[in-house]
Amino acid sequence: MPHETTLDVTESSAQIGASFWAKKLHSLTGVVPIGAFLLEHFWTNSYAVYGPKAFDEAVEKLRSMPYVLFLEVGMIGLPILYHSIYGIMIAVAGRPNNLRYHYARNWMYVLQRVTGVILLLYIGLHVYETRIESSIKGVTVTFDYMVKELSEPGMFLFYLTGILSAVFHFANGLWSFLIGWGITTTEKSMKRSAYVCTAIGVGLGLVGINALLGFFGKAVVINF
Amino acid sequence: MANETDPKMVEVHVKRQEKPGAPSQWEVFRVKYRPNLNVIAVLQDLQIRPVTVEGKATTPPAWESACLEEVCGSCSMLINGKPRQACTALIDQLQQPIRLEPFSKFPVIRDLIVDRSRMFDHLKQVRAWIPVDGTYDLGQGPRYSQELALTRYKMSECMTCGCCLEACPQYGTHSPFIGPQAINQVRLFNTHPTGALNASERLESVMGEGGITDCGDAQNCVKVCPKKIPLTESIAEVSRATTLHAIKTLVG
Repeated sequence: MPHETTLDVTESSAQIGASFWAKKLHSLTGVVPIGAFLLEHFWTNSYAVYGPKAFDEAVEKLRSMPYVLFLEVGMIGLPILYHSIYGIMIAVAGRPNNLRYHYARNWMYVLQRVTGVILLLYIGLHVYETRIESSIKGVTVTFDYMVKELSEPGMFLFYLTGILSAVFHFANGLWSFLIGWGITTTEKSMKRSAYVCTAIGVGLGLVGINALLGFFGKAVVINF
Repeated sequence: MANETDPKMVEVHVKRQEKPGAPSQWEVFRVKYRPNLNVIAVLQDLQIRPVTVEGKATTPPAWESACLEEVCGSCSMLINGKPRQACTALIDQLQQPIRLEPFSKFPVIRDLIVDRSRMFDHLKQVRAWIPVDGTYDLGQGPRYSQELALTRYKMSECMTCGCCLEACPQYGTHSPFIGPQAINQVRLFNTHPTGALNASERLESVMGEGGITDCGDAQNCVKVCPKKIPLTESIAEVSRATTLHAIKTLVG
């Protein structure tokens, strides 16, 4: 404030509500660490395009990381749990009106919430199958384990839905994050970031689908 | 564009509600077509002859209006499902039958009249004014650039009509969200050099329950705003300011 402060009759009370921080944390966790983990996850899974040996080695490398349990719980588990619980609270607080207002952004609004709920179910089952169930049974998750898993009826479609939901939720959430944190503030910059986020989403979607196809030996391998 | 059955008539469906909390029902009317009719003129015709298409005499539909030039916001209603002002809704540009409903996000007083005082409470909450009243002359305020004046002029065109709130999926009686109109006022007054003296206060007024972070980025507000106020830009600017303010209180 560049001008004389004698007019400042009322002082700042430094009252920032808990809900402000809670929503900021929700928004932040979506990008870091959850979004960052999504990228890592797609990266590791992409080894599936090279077949069983490469994938199993990549998984083993992750599994043997120091403090892996703490990383899993602290950097993935808890943030996802918080993001989901707070996300559900956000979803139920809205009253979608897409049948009256057909704007594209309004559809994104409702899709963000729908994919969020899908992801809650998807991640729950996915984590159970590939991390909890295998640990209980003392089985190592390998390429063959995943092939068996994915060959069960409906599983391919379930995984495809999960991957695409995650990609949309991340890309659209990133666009929203940029507004919420005041990084994009003009209509022009929001449009620009929409193009960038779309590109990220499409690219990530292709990578995700290719990795999934890798388990069936049908992935596209691009190398020079 | 006129009615299929009689090209000389305008068919209008009005959602009627006798008093607050009463059940609502639709009534169908036909009025004689004239060139350049607007919705207000049609409602005035119904006031003269409040008879439904079935020939049943009824009470004239109640509505509010004042300026008749889209600067006061009082004749705002849902016209063919979209929030807008009745004064600038021209019959020649509307698809028939024309459906008139009161706003759904505010309590109905009667027919098309709603109680919009919630919006004025929001304005009080964000202190949408510049406190310069005192016991002595404070002299001239600071000068500011023409560029800022133009930006602020656009923001200042808000007439508190409520279209943005009506279209917002986050706003309503179900939620404490303050909505785009008041957030735009935070930006309007915080960008004024004298108003900026109370910038922190206004920012903090939207940093609690139902504040800026309740925006869901559906961006319907900016699409329906009759004044084309860049509401999403205002929300993003206030997001930036509140984020920086929060970081400052956290580390400083």
